[in-house]
Amino acid sequence: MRRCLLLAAIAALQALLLTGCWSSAPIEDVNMEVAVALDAAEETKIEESFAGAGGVYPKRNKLSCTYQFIVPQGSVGSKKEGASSRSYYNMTESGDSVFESVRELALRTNRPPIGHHLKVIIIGEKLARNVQMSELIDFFSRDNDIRPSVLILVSKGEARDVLNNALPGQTPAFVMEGLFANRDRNLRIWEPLSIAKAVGPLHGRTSFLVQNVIAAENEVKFAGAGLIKGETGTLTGFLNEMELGGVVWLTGKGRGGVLKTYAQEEGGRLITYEVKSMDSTIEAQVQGGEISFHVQIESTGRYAETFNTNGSALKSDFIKRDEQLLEKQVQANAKKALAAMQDRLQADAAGFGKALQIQHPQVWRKVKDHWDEVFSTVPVTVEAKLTLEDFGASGTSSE
Amino acid sequence: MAGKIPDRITTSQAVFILVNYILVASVFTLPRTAAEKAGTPDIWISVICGGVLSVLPAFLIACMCRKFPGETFFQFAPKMIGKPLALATGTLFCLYFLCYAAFELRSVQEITVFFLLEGTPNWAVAALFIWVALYLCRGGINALSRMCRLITPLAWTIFFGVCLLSLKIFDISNLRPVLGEGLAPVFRGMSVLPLSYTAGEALLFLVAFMDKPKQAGRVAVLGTLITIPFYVTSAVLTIGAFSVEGTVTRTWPFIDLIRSFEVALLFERFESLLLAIWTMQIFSTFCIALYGAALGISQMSNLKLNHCLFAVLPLVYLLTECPPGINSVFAFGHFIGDWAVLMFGGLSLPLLLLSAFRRKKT
Repeated sequence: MRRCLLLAAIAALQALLLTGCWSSAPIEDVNMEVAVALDAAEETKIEESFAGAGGVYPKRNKLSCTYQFIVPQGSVGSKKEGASSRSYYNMTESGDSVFESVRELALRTNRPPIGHHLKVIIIGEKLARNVQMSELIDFFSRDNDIRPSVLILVSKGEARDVLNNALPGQTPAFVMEGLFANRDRNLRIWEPLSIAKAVGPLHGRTSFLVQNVIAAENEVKFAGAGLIKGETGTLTGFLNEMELGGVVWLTGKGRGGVLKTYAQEEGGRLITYEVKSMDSTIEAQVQGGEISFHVQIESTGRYAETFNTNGSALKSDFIKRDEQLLEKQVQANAKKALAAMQDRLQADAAGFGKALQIQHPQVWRKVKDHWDEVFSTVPVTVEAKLTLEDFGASGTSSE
Repeated sequence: MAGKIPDRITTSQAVFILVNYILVASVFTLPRTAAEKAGTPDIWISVICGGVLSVLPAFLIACMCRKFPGETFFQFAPKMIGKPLALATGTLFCLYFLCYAAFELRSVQEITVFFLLEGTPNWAVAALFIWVALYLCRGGINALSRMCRLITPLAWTIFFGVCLLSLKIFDISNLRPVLGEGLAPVFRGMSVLPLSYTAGEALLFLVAFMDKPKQAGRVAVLGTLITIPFYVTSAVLTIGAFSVEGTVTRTWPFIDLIRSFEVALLFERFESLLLAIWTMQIFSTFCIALYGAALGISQMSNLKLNHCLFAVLPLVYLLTECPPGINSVFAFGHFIGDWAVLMFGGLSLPLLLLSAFRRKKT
């Protein structure tokens, strides 16, 4: 009998454990951050009104953090209908500490912001030029909820503008994250830079590229890339779309996209080539202490468009000629990118240093401390080999 | 109960126990500690060399224990080195087991409270761990071996499965150049490995339970070699994803590696899966070490094993909560690693020679 009572007591006590997780938070009671925009300090109207009414704390105004939160589906629904209801809202806090700013939001909203689902961090140009990126992402790379897979972007202009723009029904954070999936369609998208991938170059003081995103009307666009210089750890300048495409060719990191050229001798006939695959090898050559590079680019693809003025079938020698024209275009694109990196920005963001380190570790050790300087003067030759594998469903021009 | 060996285990069971004992929390930190020391991507070579090298002391200890079938170190040591010395080394070994168990528990605590269950108090994590361990250890070596065999397939599948997924962010160029700075960094990287690979000490009592003690050497070699791929995978993938410069900035590089990708495959995020299974893996190490400590105390003092198990629990908990911060936790781990090298690396050969010598005399 006593045994039975004891068992019953234990069972009853155990029922207490069934109440669930120790520190659970219902999902509708939290604010899920999906994007953060960091800008040079500029207080919003709301913040100014708050400050006017005495809502201030001691701080140096260095940066403005704009947090984008998701509005749970269903909680907006009935009041505002259709396109006018947005599935997100943004809140801005200015200050000098990213962490303090997010906790300051706890004075403004009862639903605590959580970082489990943060997707992108966008850094405005002005801030990125003046403050080291390692300082800006420090909080995000330290936090236990925010994952190292969060993507980093820069914005030529105000980063918070990017968060204000999305087509109806869409959320800017998810749009930007999703755009990287289009790397098989366009060569002008740089590989996504997550916190995990940024800490290495930031700590090792090597230069690297960050995708640039701009906003206009109610849309966003990926437009080239920002270059973070290893020496300073800050943004030094931008590559435009064309130049970024060139870097993609140089590194062979593209997954698919468009290459366009004109046949000048045939009255400017347009040739567009759909890239199916690309690869590049950077060969570092050291002769008598002089460093030089040779880049070998290889690619296969197909005609996406060609206006064959003769109306004849696409013969092999015809294809051969077009291949050569396209190869010249690749070389030109790559040269433009090289000029931008070597002359204008004076930094290596295409992995030439890595190639030297792998192929000539002894030489690398001597130049690694001022590699960007050395890189801006080394000669680079580019060779391209393109193969037009097919011409699609149409064998001739429709003319 | 004291002094008697209650159960027997087969050779393969012994191998599994040893493997489970060797695989510990340091898989999470190893890439960072090794990369800090080495400074080059070659740490995977260090990890392989270190693993192969650590076979040696384990093998020597196995050879020694083989000479006294059915007896643990705590029982045969007095015959070998005399009572006072045996008591001294025995106490040191027990203390080592306790510290080792405490360190593993503390690692689990740090990781779970930081990554998995924010808000759950430390003592709640520790209490659950300790009480379940007590329950298991009371079941004796067979219960331990059964648990090890239960965990193994799950842990291996999930570990390597998750590792495969992480190839998404793997970049081979981060691992190159191989030996760009020569062999010196490889040796430097090896200095942090003892904590990950210490194996010999478990054999001090494990061999006594084996039904074929002659195969103890085989257990030592196999057990150690099987664990090498785990540590190598962790090192290679972490360096491949973060590069050396990035790896040294991460507190728990291997966990961060798993947190760094999202795959739309049933779960999308895999760190909780890995942490859950690796907590079990650490739990098995904890239990084996705890059992070793309790067994040692019971055999040296002729107390009942069950009583000793209860007695060491508060000790382990106190040791667990000793380090005040994360840096002292890591320092604690490093200290244990050095201790292991000195004690089991340094003592194994003289002890073996002594055992051979004494054997001939009698």
